[in-house]
Amino acid sequence: MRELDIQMSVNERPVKQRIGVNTLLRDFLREDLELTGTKGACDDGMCGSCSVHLDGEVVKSCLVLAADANGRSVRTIEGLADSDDVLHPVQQALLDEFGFQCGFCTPGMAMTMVYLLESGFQPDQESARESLVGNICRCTGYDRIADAMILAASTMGENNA
Amino acid sequence: MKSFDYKAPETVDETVSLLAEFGSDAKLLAGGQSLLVLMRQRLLAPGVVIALSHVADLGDIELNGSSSIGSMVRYKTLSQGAIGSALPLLARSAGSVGSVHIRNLGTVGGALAHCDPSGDVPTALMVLGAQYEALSSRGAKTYDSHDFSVGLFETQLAEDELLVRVAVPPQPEGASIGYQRFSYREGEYPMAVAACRLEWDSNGRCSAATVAVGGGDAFPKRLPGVEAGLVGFDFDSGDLESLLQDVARPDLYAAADIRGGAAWKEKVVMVTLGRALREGHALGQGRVDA
Amino acid sequence: MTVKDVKTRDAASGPSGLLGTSIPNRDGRAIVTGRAKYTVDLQPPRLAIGKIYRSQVGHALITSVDASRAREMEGVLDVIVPDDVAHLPLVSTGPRLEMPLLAQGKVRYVGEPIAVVIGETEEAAEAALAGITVEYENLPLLLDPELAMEADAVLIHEGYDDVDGNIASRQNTKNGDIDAAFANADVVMSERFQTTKQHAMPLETHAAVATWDLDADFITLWSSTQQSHVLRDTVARVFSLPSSKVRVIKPYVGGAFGHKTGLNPNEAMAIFGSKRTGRPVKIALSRQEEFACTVSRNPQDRRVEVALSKEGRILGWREKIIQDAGAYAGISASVLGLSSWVTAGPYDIAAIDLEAVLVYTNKPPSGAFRGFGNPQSTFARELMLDMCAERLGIDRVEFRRMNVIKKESLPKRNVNGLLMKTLPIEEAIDIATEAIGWDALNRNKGPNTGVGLALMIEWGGGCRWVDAWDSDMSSSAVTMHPDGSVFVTSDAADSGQGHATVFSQIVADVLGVPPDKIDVSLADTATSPYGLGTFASRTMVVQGTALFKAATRIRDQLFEIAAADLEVHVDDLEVDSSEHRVRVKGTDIGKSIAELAARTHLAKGSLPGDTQVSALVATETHDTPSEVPDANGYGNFAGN
Repeated sequence: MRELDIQMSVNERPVKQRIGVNTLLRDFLREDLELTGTKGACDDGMCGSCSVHLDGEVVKSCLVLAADANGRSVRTIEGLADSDDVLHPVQQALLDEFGFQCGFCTPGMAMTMVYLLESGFQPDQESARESLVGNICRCTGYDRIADAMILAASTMGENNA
Repeated sequence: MKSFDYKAPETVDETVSLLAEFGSDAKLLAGGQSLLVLMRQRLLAPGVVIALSHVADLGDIELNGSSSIGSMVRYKTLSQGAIGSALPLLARSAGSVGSVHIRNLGTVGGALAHCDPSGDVPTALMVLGAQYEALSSRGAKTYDSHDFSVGLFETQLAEDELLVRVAVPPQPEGASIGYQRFSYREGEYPMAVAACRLEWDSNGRCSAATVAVGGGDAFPKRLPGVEAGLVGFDFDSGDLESLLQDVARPDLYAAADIRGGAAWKEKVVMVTLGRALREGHALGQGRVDA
Repeated sequence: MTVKDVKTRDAASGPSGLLGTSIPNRDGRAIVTGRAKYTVDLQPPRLAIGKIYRSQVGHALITSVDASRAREMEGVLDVIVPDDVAHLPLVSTGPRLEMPLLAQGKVRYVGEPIAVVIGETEEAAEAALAGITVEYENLPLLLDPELAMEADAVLIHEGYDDVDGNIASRQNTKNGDIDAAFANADVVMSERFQTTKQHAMPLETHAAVATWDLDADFITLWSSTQQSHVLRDTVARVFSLPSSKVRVIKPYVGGAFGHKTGLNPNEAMAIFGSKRTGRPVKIALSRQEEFACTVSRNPQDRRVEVALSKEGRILGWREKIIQDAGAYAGISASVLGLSSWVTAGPYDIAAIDLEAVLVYTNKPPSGAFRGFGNPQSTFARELMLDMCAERLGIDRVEFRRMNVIKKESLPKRNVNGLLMKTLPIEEAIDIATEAIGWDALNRNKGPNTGVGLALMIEWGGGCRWVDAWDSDMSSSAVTMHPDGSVFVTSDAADSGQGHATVFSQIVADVLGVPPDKIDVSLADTATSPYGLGTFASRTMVVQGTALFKAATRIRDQLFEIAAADLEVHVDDLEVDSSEHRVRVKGTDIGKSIAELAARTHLAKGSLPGDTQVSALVATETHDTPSEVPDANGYGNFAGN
């Protein structure tokens, strides 16, 4: 088939759409669902700006066919915050530690951080940077991003305590 | 990317029938971490894409002396848990690939079929003596890892064959492993990968070795010259670099590319190989914790 | 050692207590929630997508362009070929207008745009590129600037009086008695340094969305740009409209680093494509296009000779510099200028002789990239100094201490003509070597490890010779609404620097308005006053100063009224942003700014004397006191 009716849960909302089978999950999110927080910045899956959660696992949405995400659940940057007022600890930490400049890498960074921290990762500067090798930043030099990840780990640890 | 006919089989038999029908015009979509890049760059434009994500029975793992790993098992699963303890070399190689994103989706079957010249997992599996079970409408076939890769991104797999399972035989008692890789930046395709499995005699000398490198040729390969040369080698007193210069270097045919010239890349492979062998030695002698 | 370890001034100052501190980045929420819209995120209704067909050869005459097959392909709305835009004028980021927006009769680099497909979808446009056939008559390919400079080399550009073969421009700097310096030298060192064509690789690629409203004959362009107004005026000139019929809006920009200036083919073709199809058109570059076909750093080849005394003094400095422009010169002559004028750096050198040429080659054009010629110059100089020190047997830090301009001699013009008023370079050496543990590092470094030290003069905040305009201005405007809240706008083009946040701090400090009552909008030509945009580290200095002036004018209007109300002199008043009021210094007596603002708009009778009602709008321009440098680089590059 060249077109497929897919349905999935995106940020906890059910979604139904007919798509061309060659549609990348990233482009389905950005164009069909107008969730433009997820970005695209490379041609070969290296930059990570397209990172989202697929069934709870962080993936590069430019390396997943929307057709293959049929029947599954997706979480994007737009689905991180509880509400307008209550940001996810990772988002809050990025604000508190000034972990961004131009912001283009930020959604992808945040999604990767959330995944790693929710699985119990306790980073320091070096291990934070290593864990984020799949997300490229051209502005910051990564140190404040790592600081944000460390702060978020601490906040999330407190929240769970 | 160009459109295609999308098939979503649910069983191995369905998949095999589709391959029989569409053969050369079809590509199997496993993790997608390599295939989709090639399709987006318009280097590949298959008329038919057969998605494996819903096929049952390709994700099973059995560990009991020998190991059986379904071809759709993800890098992430290979790098953790029971496999991590049973086959540490496989776990380390799988855990080194790309980033967490890639490891969540990339599969062992995809890695083997794609056959990147410096693939971590194919290199490691060669050293473990793995065998690869494939299925087509013509029947089942088993490939040996040591000659499965035959060219640049080319394996012995026929166009209509589906890799179903990776079988890893029981590993020799007391053998130690070594695994090293080199890339300019973490998370990138490595320039060199080296894996080894070393067995030891009662005098602490190497009694048998399987050694493989990625990045030393158009495809990952075993180095029989090194394997033979290591028998009886005394790591404490022997000159490993000289030995490798004699028995490894002649077997390397790295291709110059954006990362460096052939000579430089071969040197990097040599150094990486030396490090892997030394690591195998240290682990074998209980000098270092695995 | 991380950025955070570096000592920063963290003392709150100013009446608001907001200067000198870090307040939350006001763009932060939009960024971390994914709500910030970048150009490529914009999806107006009926959007069509453009893809550029690019030259596959590096130097050739174009003998034919056939798009007939592409036009028939599915989802294709239009194909623009060179003949369609032959009437458009040439463009450049520099003074010589020499670049066609689609190649006209000739291609000069691999990747040069030749045609554009406008499609219903990205996939349709991309697929249709294969339906375009171009025939070339190859010309000799010139990739090496030295070969391109040869007398019999084929010409990459023709018909320009001020171009000598493939030499686009020359830049000679000579000060002091260079012949005496070398004649008297105990040691002469000679070395060659070459730098590469680096790309800044902003994470967001060049992108543009354009609509040409044919009824109103009005162009709206959203673009990832550093210069909304300059871009607007270039668009107007190219498409033969008055500037008043063009609006350029800068959404969030995902990094620029100098690469996003001028009018680029993707922007121009999005505009033209919209005219042709009657649809909004988006053209966003792929990563490969960004890397291979957009502006990057000029490679340089520097043959350096240094005259030295045996005691270790640098007597004279001579260089032959070849800078590779690529296929179009753009701003590269200015890069070469700056690169020459920083050669002496902070060092006290008596004589300098630089012969520099800018050469066309068949490579994608180079141009502005953060540093703008300084990295190439500093690289060659500092390595050369290390080599000189080694040759003389002098420690390389001591060698530098010996040769930097000494504090006692300030103010002083260095041999490059740069006037140094303050130059704490010796302290900088002390702080840097201590912070990094220089002695221990050098003692303990293992094999294949290098430890380096480099000194440089960084140039920024003011420059009067970029684009050869006699202006280095920008503007900011402040509007206070009747309720005392404030709208700030400026031509400043943020690409991650945090302009809006700092502007709110300035306004809070001057006007006593808390940041949450300040709205900032930047680089939209419909609302922002004219300015040259953001580059050369100028925004805090230029737009910031303009903003300070504008906010001060409004404050002064409010102070007039408050002083009359409170029967004090204006000098007795200050702002109090925590209470959003004007206060008599040293007292708790004040007037609410909201009340003052409301009265100024709407209650003439309540205003003192002859004071008229006013909309409380102030626009101010700041032009730096910089000067166009003379032939030897003497001038003033100060921002303030």
